[in-house]
Amino acid sequence: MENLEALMHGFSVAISFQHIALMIGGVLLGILVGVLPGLGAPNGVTLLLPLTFTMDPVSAIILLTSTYWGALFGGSTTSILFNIPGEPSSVATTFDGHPMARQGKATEALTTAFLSAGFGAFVGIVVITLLSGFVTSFALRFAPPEYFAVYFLAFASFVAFGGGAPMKTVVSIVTGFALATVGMDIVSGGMRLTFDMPELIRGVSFLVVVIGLFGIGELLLTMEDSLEFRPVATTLSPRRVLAAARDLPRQWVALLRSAAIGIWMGITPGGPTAASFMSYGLARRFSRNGHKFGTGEAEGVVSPETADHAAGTAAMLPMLALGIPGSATAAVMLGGLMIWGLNPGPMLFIEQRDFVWGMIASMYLSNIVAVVLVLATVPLFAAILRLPFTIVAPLIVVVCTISAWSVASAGFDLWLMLVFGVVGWGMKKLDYPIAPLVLAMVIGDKAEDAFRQSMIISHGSFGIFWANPLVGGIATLALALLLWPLASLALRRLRRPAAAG
Amino acid sequence: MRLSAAALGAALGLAATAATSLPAYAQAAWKPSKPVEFVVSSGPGGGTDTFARTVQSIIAKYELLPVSVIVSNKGGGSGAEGFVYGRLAERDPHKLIFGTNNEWLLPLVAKVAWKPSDLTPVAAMAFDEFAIWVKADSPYKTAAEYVAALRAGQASEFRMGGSQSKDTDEILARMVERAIGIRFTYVPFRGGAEVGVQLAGGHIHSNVNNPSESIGGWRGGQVRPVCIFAPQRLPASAPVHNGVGWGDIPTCAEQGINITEYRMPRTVFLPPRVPENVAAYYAEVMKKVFDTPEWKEFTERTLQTARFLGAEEMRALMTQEEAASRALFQDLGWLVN
Amino acid sequence: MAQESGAAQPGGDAPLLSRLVLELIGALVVLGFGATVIWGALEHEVGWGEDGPQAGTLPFWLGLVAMLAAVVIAIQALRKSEVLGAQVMLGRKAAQQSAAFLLPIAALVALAVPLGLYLAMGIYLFGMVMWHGHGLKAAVITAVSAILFNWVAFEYWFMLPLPKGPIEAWLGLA
Repeated sequence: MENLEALMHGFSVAISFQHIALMIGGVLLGILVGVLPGLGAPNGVTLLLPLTFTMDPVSAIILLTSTYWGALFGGSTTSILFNIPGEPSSVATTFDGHPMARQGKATEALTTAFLSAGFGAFVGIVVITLLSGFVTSFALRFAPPEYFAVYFLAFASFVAFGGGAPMKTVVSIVTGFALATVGMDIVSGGMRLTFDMPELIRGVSFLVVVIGLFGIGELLLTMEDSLEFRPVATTLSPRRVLAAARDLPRQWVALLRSAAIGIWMGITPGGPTAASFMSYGLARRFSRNGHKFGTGEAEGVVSPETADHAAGTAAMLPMLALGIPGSATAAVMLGGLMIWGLNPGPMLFIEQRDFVWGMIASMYLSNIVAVVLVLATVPLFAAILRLPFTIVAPLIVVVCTISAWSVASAGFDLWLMLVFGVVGWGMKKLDYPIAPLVLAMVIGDKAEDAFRQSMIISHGSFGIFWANPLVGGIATLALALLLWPLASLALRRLRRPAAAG
Repeated sequence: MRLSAAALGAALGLAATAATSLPAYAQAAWKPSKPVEFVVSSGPGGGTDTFARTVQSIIAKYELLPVSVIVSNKGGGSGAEGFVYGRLAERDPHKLIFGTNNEWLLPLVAKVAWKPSDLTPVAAMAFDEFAIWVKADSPYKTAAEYVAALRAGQASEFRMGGSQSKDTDEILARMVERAIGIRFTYVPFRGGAEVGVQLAGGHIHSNVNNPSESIGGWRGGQVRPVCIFAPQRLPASAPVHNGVGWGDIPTCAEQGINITEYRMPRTVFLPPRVPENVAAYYAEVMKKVFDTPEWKEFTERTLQTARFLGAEEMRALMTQEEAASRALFQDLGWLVN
Repeated sequence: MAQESGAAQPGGDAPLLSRLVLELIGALVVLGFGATVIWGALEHEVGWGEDGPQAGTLPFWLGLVAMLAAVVIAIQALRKSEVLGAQVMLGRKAAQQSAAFLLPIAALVALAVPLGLYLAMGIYLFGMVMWHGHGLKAAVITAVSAILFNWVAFEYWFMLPLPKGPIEAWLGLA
């Protein structure tokens, strides 16, 4: 229980007027950048970095982490209300969150999202508090084959249970992987699929693609049908917020399962975005209401949100103890650590007790602050929804355009956004599933690198994926998940003639 | 046609410099008139990013620039994104590009849209050291023992990790192979932190991380350096782990790996064809940054050698390194240009 | 089969594109994409070396699979051509509405760099709000407030400058 003692010490460091003020400021800015699709948590944190140069490290990390939490929460708001994911990790929240909003249940969707996100974060922090030593040594066991197996598992658990025409799903997956290969290949050091265009050197930005597919694509569909806004503006009364909050504990199975998935992906580190997809995929498979997913199921909001935040929180541990950034935001914070004069590593927990435990304690507080503040912003968005759609739609277009620009300050990305807007419209019209493309883009290059690193290590032998119980277990589980639908189909075919006969 | 266009360009360039050099007092008085963009040729959190942001923080503290500074990360394609961006911002005096020697090495091994001589050198401000690291509990006490084990065992089963491919780490790994006459397996990873953790987990046998990338692991008893690629030992420091400090690490040449010097400069560039007085202005600002106690503290803490190179010295370094690397890359079959 | 054919778009919109045509266009796009990916992959080695897949291996096979899938999708569509041919995916009016929304975005994107994003977004918002008949006052308020808010947010708070054009230069703001 020495960790609990350390945590109490952390609270004594973290609780001060100045720190609480930094939390509120950080969370507010985070919500703002989280809401804007192209600006995400990494931008928010980068933006604040110069301000922290003159702060003491504890205040600095509190400000930065609070911004991160704010952005994670803010990203869900636009996912639900406009079907535009504000953050990469809230793409999966659109699947059921937006249908809920369309049915006039925006309040319920937002409340459910924020509270389950808060729950995920809370579980993540508790794990960090209690298991820091164990988690660090566990993370050290991950070599390229293990990484590949983790990505494979995330992919298998999401894709294997998706509906849709098989060939169209294949096209979607293949397109996502192909887009992820554009740019510098770190294993060979060469430029791939750049066609000598300088704009393609940095690769095709995942964010720009998402802004196009979801933002512009969704607006095009809406425009074609009618000029009515799809999400029906609802009155946001505190009563409905409370009612939704009371309903949440009924989802305890989904909450716990998703938190476990999130922590697993945060530590290994597959990252929050992959975690949210994996959690959604598994929920769709194992929930009693799985067949209703995509039509506005509360569980379809709970699952990705809980996993997303649990992963985002749990990823802070490998960051501090090993210096591995679990996400783009963590990478910025690591840079900050170096500038403040701290070296991430196992000794940080011993030599910088104030810093580490002050930060962990602040995570408990700032997540509470974030839930309260983000709920308070909901009426603001409700007001936007009451404007005529023919004014809101062009405003959303402007937000998308600015966001696409801010990813890399490139005019090329604006055209890319436009093209993917049309592609998104076409995919929805023809029932090509979009989600597999997004997931393949997120994990595609990392999975390929891990696979090729494994092959370099094993000199081309696949045995490396079953070389020890850890990697073998993950790889087998992934294969089983991938083959499950095929196997159950075969079983049914076998049984049917038998039953008939 | 091509020749005359080049001649025309040169003439225009000359005319431009002539025009700007006319009023001598105006030349000295050049000052940035809008926010200066620091283009970082690495992702957030990378070594070059820390370098640029430390410079930014010192500039802010001493008010060395009359305008604000905007840092933008353009680390795509191992930094190619940042250099291409700088190259396209021709004559823009409000953009500084922060990088390493990849500005002149990358064009040799990858098809990229700039030549090393395109950008205007401003300064090099620090040199990052390289060391051979092994896992803390590995049986090799010294680099010589490690090489002996390589000779005795099956060399291809020995894995050295590094950050990226055909970049500084792999170049050094290949140089080590040549120096000891054995080929081992090089495994490229995404960045130094990842390579450090792979070593700490025992998934690779060694790496060539910069001191700052692995100091946390050393202090925590996960990894330890066995030799450093420097002409002489580093200045003595406080013990880092088990009574051993930076100054106690033997040089690799001492240990029989005959590479006397391998360092990575931290460099600052301007876009092509900016007036000379602009380059001189920023060189002066960088020199002021270099002379602050904060810079000294930063380089000491990150174990970099603080050494200032002006534009001329930088050009000499570039020419010399490019020629040497070209020969090595030719040999390795990496050359594309 | 029969209940599907002849299903018209609600609102009696005149048909423009049937599902069959749209499916074939989609398959053609995928085919072209796959070919492009293969073309790019062939700049590198596409084989399986001693140290596993090479730089071009994955893109090459991805391109190939995409092209095969496109062919299968096209064949599947053609085999159901009667049903799909009768299914209207896009009516004339719907297409007009989409185009009237898409083309201004294209104009916004085209003007963003040469004119500066602030001016481009002002023109775009003003035009869209006017065109939908909300009146001059609403159009001016929308355009001006968007420019002012984004200017403050991006130039000052976020320190993330958006592209600027001749107007800003003339005003001495760029």
